[in-house]
Amino acid sequence: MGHSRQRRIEEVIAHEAALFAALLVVALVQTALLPRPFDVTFNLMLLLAICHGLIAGTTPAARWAFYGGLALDLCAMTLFGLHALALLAGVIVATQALSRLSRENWLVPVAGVALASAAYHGVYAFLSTLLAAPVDPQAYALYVLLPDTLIVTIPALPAYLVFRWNEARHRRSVPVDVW
Amino acid sequence: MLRDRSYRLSQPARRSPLLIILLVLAAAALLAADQAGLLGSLRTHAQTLISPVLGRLQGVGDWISSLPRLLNDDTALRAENEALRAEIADLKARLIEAEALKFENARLREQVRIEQAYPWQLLGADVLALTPDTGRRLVLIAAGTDQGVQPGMAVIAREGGNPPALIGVVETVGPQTASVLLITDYSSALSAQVYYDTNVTRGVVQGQWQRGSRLLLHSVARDAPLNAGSTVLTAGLSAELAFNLPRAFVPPNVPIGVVETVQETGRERLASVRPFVDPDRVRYAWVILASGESRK
Repeated sequence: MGHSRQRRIEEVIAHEAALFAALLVVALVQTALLPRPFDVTFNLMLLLAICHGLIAGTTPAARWAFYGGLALDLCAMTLFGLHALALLAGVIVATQALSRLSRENWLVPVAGVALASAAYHGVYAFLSTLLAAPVDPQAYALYVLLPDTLIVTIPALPAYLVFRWNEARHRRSVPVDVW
Repeated sequence: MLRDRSYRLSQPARRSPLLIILLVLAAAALLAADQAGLLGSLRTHAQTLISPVLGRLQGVGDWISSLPRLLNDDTALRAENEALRAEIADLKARLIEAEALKFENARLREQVRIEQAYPWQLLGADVLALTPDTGRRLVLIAAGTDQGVQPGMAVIAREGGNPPALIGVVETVGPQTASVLLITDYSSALSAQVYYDTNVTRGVVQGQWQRGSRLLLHSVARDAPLNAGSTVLTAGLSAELAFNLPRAFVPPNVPIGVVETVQETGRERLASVRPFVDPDRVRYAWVILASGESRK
């Protein structure tokens, strides 16, 4: 009994470590690999966390946001928890706001990512003001929030469809059956 | 018999919000602990592990970023090509053994050239990563306390035919890496000056990236001379007044940029400044470790 419980704990730890490692790779890609057209950064981590959240729910997405945020903090040498809190805010706001809408509505991912981006930048600007330097809200909204939100909503629908396809594959449910 | 059945995804399962609350609290606790300096050693070890990977990925990222520019921006490509040709010609003239030319040598020669022209002791460092989002303009460089880097030190770079110019100030330092706050960030404000014959016009250069511009020179006296085309340099007021502040590391007379337009408000004059170096394009930079008398 005790042996199986210990094994279960080991499995959970291994699973969480694997998730963190995968999200660290995503953070590295976002930090070093992704191109920045017109100096606008593509927030890959936010996109993945929201798509996952819209499919799997707030709690699993919050885990992604937490680990992904820590990975971004690590890559950017920012204070630990800064990106994590901003991503958590984005995930919670978007998934809760859209929880009553059908998962098959194609506007859900676009609205979810836009909402999440707004919440993410709101919290990030607030924490930056609190911990580093004051931020001009109007200018921040115009030159940071707006372009970042626009660019991250473009691939929201295709990314969401990939997550849906993956979810269906895992559940072994196919659109054709025999009767 | 086969029949198509519409595919419907079930709504996500509702779970207890306890884990979410715990994660938010954990993130806030980590933030508070890091702000209080309790996670220094953890950060150090993590940075030591991650820096080499970031450095290699940055090279691949640069190549990916350059692809659309190579395909679309023909004018920029031609200008870059000309600049590169001029640089190659310059290097060929200066180096005895052309076949032994390497990128590291070119960098070191560039550093020596700057040190001969200016009273600065420099430390060269690769730019490992740009900030992963656009909230703040930071870059990570491959030099830290082990090499003598301290918070507040000025970081310079060179681009094209422009003089070596300030790109930012070191904000946080690890043993092997340092985070540099770029001068274009809104939270960056440095004392600056413009020379006119025997007069000096002083003001504050502040980043304007989050406001859609690059640099703004403000707090200039209304009657002070200030014209388009003038060169803006650091004033190094913190160092001059011997303030015990991190900014005291920034020496005077480090080039920043050129005044583009000047306008007057009720009490002061404002000028938009074009930096000599675009901080976002810098891939190699130098930290000014010491300057002038302190160098000796």
